[in-house]
Formats: sequence, C-alpha cells, structure tokens
Amino acid sequence: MKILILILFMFSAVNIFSKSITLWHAYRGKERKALEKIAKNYEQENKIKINLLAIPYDAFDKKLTASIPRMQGPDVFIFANDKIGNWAESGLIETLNYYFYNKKRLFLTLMFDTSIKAMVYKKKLYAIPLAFKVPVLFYNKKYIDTPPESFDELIKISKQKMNKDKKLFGLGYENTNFFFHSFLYFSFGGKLFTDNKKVLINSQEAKNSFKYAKYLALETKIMPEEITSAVLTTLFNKNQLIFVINGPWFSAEIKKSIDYGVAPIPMIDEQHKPKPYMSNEGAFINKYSSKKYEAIKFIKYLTGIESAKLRMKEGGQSVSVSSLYNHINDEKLKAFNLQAQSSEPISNSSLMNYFWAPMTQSLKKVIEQNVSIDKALNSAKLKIEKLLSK
Amino acid sequence: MDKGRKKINISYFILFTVFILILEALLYSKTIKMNSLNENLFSIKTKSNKLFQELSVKTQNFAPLQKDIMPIQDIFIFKQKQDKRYPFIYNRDLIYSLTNKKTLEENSLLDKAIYDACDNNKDISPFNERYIIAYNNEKSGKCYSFISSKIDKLLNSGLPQIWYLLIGVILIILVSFVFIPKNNKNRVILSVITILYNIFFYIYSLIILRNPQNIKEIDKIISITKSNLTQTFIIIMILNLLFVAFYISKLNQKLTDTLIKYKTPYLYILPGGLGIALLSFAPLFSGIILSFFKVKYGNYSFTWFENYTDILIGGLNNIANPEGFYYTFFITVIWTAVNIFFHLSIGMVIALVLNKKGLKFKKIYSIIFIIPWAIPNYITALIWKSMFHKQFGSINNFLVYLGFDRISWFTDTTTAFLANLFTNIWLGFPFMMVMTLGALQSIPTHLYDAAVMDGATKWQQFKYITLPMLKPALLPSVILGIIWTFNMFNVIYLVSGGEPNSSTDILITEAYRWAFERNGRYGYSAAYATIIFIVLYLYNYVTGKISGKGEEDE
Repeated sequence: MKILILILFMFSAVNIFSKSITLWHAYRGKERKALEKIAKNYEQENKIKINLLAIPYDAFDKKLTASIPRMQGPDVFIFANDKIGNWAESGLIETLNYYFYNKKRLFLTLMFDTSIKAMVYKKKLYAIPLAFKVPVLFYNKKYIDTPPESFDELIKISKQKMNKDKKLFGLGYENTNFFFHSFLYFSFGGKLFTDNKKVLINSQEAKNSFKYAKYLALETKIMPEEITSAVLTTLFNKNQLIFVINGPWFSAEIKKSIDYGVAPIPMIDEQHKPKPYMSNEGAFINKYSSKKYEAIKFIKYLTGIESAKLRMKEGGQSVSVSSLYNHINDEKLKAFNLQAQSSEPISNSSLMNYFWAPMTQSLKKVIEQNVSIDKALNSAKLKIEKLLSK
Repeated sequence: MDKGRKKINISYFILFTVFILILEALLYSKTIKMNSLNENLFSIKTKSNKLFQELSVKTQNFAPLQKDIMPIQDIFIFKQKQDKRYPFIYNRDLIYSLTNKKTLEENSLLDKAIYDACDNNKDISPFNERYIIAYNNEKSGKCYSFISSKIDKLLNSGLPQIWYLLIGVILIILVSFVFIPKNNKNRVILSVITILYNIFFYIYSLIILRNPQNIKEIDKIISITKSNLTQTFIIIMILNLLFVAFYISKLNQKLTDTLIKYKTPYLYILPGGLGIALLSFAPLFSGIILSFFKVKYGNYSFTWFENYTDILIGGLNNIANPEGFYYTFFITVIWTAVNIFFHLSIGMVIALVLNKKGLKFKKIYSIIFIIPWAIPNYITALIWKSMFHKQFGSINNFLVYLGFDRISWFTDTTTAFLANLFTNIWLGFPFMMVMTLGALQSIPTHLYDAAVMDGATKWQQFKYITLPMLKPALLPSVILGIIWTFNMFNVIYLVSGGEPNSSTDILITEAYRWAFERNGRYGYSAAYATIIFIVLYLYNYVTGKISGKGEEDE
C-alpha cells in the first residue's frame, strides 16, 4: 500500500503546471549573456517565465528531431537555416507567414532581404532571422596594419614574413571542410544542384575552385598542413599565423593579448570575388507547441529592434536588422556586414544533407590524399546520385 | 495445508486477478481513447462542413488545381479538448498545396483570409493544432489523412504499444512470483480468465469501431485502428500463452519455491535489480525492438527484418566497401586480436619485471604504469590524436629527428589503423599488468623453490609454473578485454575518426555513424548494435564452453 501511494505521488509530482516558454539555443559566451538579458527584460515586462536551455551545436538537430514529435521539445528555438528543408518536410516547425509577413510587414522590411529569403522554404516563411554568420579574414596586427586587397598580395606578404620567421605560417583555413571551401567554390561560379535534383558538382567551375584550393594548400607553401579548427586557434594565439579565414565564432577563441583585425576576404583575382557561405540564424516555433501564442509574442520581441541593438552591442552579433549598420563604428561588425554583401546563403533544401560529407571527402582526397580532382569529384557525384535515387 | 493459509491464498488470488484485469485495461486504453476520438469526429462533422464552405467562399480559389494531388471530398475538423478557448483548428499546409498559390505573399493573403474567417467564427483559432483532415487521392486510389500529433501517435507508433505490453508482462510475472502460491489450479484459472477477458475486450472494441455512418475516409482511419488493435491483440495473446506455459512448467514451481523460501534476500537485492533492469535491460530491449523499425524523423514503421537483411545481404556488402558490414567486421576482429595480443604480452612482461624480488622503487614504477589507465580515455585519445598531426605532432617530429620523412597518418588505412592501435595499446596494457601482478603474487613461492631444487631453468619455471598458474586468473580478464576492445568507441572515433573514408571504423563506430551522421537511421543502427551483441554473446558462450571444458579436463 505504501508503495502504491508512493507511485501515485510520483505521478502527481510530474504534472505541475506553470506558465512558461522553453527556448533552446546553441549560444556561448557574450551572445548567450545578451540573450539571457533579453529574456530577463521580457520576463519582467510580460510576467511569463522564459526557460533558456543551451544545447551543444552538434547535438541540436538530433535532439530536436527526437524530441519534437514526442511533445518534449522547446516552444521556441534558435538555429541556423540550413535544416529548414528537413524540418519543414517532416512537419516539425510552424509556418509564420501570417504572423509576420503579412500583418506585420513593416517589421520584416527592417531585415536584410537575403536573411529573410534564407528562412523561406517552398514559398513559406519558417523563421524570423536574428543574425547572420559569415566567414571573413582575420589578420594579426603584429605583422600587418592594413588587410591585403587580393590573394596575390596576401601570398606575397606571407612569403616575405615567413622568410624572416621560420615558425610562421601565412594563411590558415579549414580547407578540407566544404563550408570554408565555399568562398572559392561559389566565387568560381560552382553550383551544387538544380531544382530537379541534378547534381552539378563536377562542372568546370567547381574543378577550378578545387584547383585553386590545391594550389593554395600545396604550391604556395604558406599554409600549415592537416588544418583543424584546433590547429588554427593554437597557431593564431601563438602569433604563428598571419591570416585566418573563419567565422565570427573564431573571435571568441582568440586570446586577449593578440591584437587582430577583421576584413572581408580579399579578391581571388580580378574576375573572382570571394563568396563564402552565409548561415542565417533564426527563431523557430515548434509545430507541436501548446503555447504558440505566447511563443510568437516572444519572438516578435526577440527579433525586434530593441533586442537587436542589445544583441549587437553586448553580444557582438551581426544582427539581421539592416538599419542598425548605418551608425555603427565597430570595424569588425562592418567587415561582417561587407562580407555578407558578397556571400552565398546556405541552401535550406533538404538535399543539402547529401552534399556535406561527400564534398568534404573529395576535398580531403584532393588536398591530402593526392587523388586527381576529376576522379574525386566524379566519384562524389556518383555517390550523391546513388543516395538521391534511394 | 491448513485453513488459514488457504484463505490467504484465495484472497491473494482474487487480488491478483483484479490487478491483471486492470493492467490489461490499461494496455487497451489507447484503443478506448481512439474510439472516443472517432465519436467526437462524427459529432462535429456537420459544423466543420459549414466552416469549410465558408472558407472556400472567402478564399475564392479554393478549387483543387493539381489533379494528381488531391480532389477533396471532405475535410474533417476535429474538436480540440484541452483548450476551451480555441476549439477548432484547420490544416494550413493542406490548403496551401490545394490552392497552388505561387508566391509567399499570395500564400499570406490566403492565410489572412482563412484567419479572418476564423476570427468571425469564434470557435476557431490558429493556435494549438488538434485537427484531423482526411482526403482522397483519386489517382493512386489511396486515402490520406492529415492528423494532429496526438492522434497521429495513436495510429502510427508501434513502439510505445509494445512497451506497454512488455512492462505489463514483466509486472504480471513479478507479481505472480510474489503473490500466487504454488497451486497449479489457481494459475490455470487465472490464465483462462485473462484470455477470456482479452477476447471479450477485442470483440467489444470491434463492435465500437463498427460505425453506422459509412464514410470512406473515416473507414480508412478505422481500418488502421482495427489492424492496430488486431496487432495488439495477437501480441497479447502470444504473451498470454507463453505466460500459461510458463505457469504450468516446473521451472515456475522451482522459481516460486526459491522466491518464497528466500524472500528476505530477494527483497534486499530488489532495488539493485530494479536499477539494472532500468539502466541495462530496458535500453537493451528497446534497442532490439527498435531494430525492427524504420525510423524517419520521429516516425516509426515496422519492417520486420529489413534492417538486418540490409546489413547482412544488402547493397553495401561488397567486401571492399568500407561502409559494408563484412569489411567493418573484418577490421574489428583484426583490431581486437592485435590489441589483445599486445595488451597481454606487454602487460605480462612489465608485471614479471615488477614482481621481481628486491626491485627498488617498485611502488613508483607501478604508479607510473597505471597512469594511462587512470586518465580518462578520451583525454588520452585526443592527446594521441594531436601527437599524430602531420606537421606539428611530436611523433612526426621524432621521426624527422631520426632522419625519416613525415607521415600523413590519417590519409592511409594502414597508418591510420596503426595510430589507433598505438593509442589503444597505451590505454590497455595497464589493466593486464595489474591483473597479472595480482595473480603472480598469489603463486606460492615454494613451487619455485622446489623447481630450483629440481634444477629447472628460468624459462622452464615460467612455462610450467607461472603460465599455468596465471591462466585461471587471466582468462576472465582476457575475455573482458576482448569485449572492451571490440567496442572501443572512444579511440576509433577520436583518433582516426574512421579516416580515410571510414575504412578504419569498427562496428560500434559504424553503428553510431548510421544513427547520428547519416540521416538518422536509428533502426538500422539499432540492428547493427543488436548484431554486435549477438556476436559478443556467441563469442562469450563459445569461450565459456571451451574454458569450462578445459577446467573439467584438469
């Protein structure tokens, strides 16, 4: 009998109800603090509890897809736009057309057009953009004062400095990761796929971009080998690397003693302007949430101007509200904004899933395993087509 | 048997019967819920039709344009229970695809029209979706239904249902052990009652489901429910029969006897047993059950042995394909064998040296040798990973110092495998060393004294005294070591990461990749894990037989 009572008690303890919204995010450091502040402000104004939960970036998608259909997910979550296709197809996220695009049109005109387009999938709006992340050029001010204008200049400067200091490297970027290779790939005019699932990765343009990546890695001799993000951080923090191409998250990893600048990635040559991948973060609403009304009210606040100012100022975020960039003095944010003008928004199609691994694999083959570009890309194409036909 | 005891028996019996009946009712509760949902659906059908007309007038273009998709016959709007503010809801996605609007703005206009209609009709709200929509696809002849999450779960998920059943059966068996005295007659009566009750409930549910209003879409939904119900029924029946067979068997009598005899000790181990059941057995069984399902974004569909056949005889099974099962299995076996060989030989040599009498600083040495084992192995693995870096790694620097070329460790299968191997040898030998050292110290010294008296050489002493005396102590640690190495996830995942082209992956990392890196094929991955379990179980069984035989011979 005692046991029965205990069991009953346990069940009743689970069912405590309180008015609150749960928000999942993958922010760290300053961005996280800014978000916490915003949530606190909102709580005070609206008398509703916002439960913030930080989820590691890598585990985010798995957790979402596992928990939402089981009614255990968040009401609101903040994530990049590249999984929208998958989530929308499997019915995990709510469409937001009515709430924002129509009635509150003015609200959305404040944002960058590209950022909004990134949140649209099959003619429907699925998220409200918060901020964008785009790789740029970080340079160590110990070695140079003004960033180079072109890659030739970058290579020349690197070689000069490297001659003086044997431990020094010129340029570092994760060249076997397709996300970072993107600035070359789209600059040379490469494409991944067409709307009717035609795979275009072995085009001449794509091959040229691989050729240039190979040239940078093997012939210029200004880059370290087998680059991982840990290698980049270590070298840059030891003053052993002049230039790094990396996303805004890199600045959180740089030591305070290092004096660095941020600039748009230089021109590859006269015809080719770099076009790195831009990922857009947005606020999404869980389709199965039981508090959509409250959730929508909250993301209106979260993506609004007041919050954007705070996120920009205290979180150092490159927010999606375009008008805020007119008055800003921060050199770094300006560089991100400039680079965003020349960038390729990551496709949010569900097809993207099939490309990341094979593209990264073929970059590894070309740069590290001495496989010819034709062979690597052709086999990647076959592999992707096989996966797509299933 | 005295009278008092008999009385208690009967009250136990009645209590238990009631308990089982309640349990079964709980198992069927899903079906009951489904029935009430259906009834609700009918009661509001007329209302929803009216709403639908209103919507189509407001949006003008509501006629279905894409013939191959879906001419609508009817839309059912389901009444939502929990939230009285917003009792009605509709499915926007469906309406989007029906109206074939082209741009975001057009879609928004449509949206607004619908919302306005909702605003006018106070019963409708855009929030909290609890809707059910059914339509007919004439081309394929299939009927589709868009159903809100909760009903969706009721219809489609096989997994929780089986879970309820399993928990129920485990409970029944547990309770029967404790409450039912060893009286076969009662048991048979009880079994017959449960079976009759099940049959009754099945028929009752079928009657409820047979609806007089013969509407196509609803029929389809009901037929899904029916098949679900039948599935549940069949499973419950099979379990019931097993239960009866178990009841009547001698095994049960024996078990009940010991349970009653040693009530107190069993009570003492109950908390621990429950812990093991929850933390080890529950995941194991749910993994095995999951391996029969195909999982796609939270939706489970039962596929029998498709995952297994895919793995064992599917398209990936070229022996040279690194993602195929047999290649990975081959790598895993070699990985395990080589590792255990080095663990054992290095561990034994060091233990023999440390066991030498008169060796100074013995304690310091043994602490040093245990360090690799004491540090968490993922930290060790990450340190080794950076030591294998082509340009900055200390191993390559050492090679250069010796006059060799730098090696790019992770671009070639052999070198990547070697890198994994070095790391795991470093991690694994201390365990064998500790085990050997312990066993060595338990060998009585007089054996060696006698051997010296007989003029045996050191090698003969080792061969005829040390090794045979070590065998019984080392065998379990070797078996354990093999299982650990077979499933050594951390080293493979963190050091080589399966590079190049996942050719150095072992079974466990491959299973992980199928679940978490290749489009979330959880069922497939669970099947992998089950196969690993079976392989290891077979191995354990065979070695158990062999070693048992060996001991008998001696």
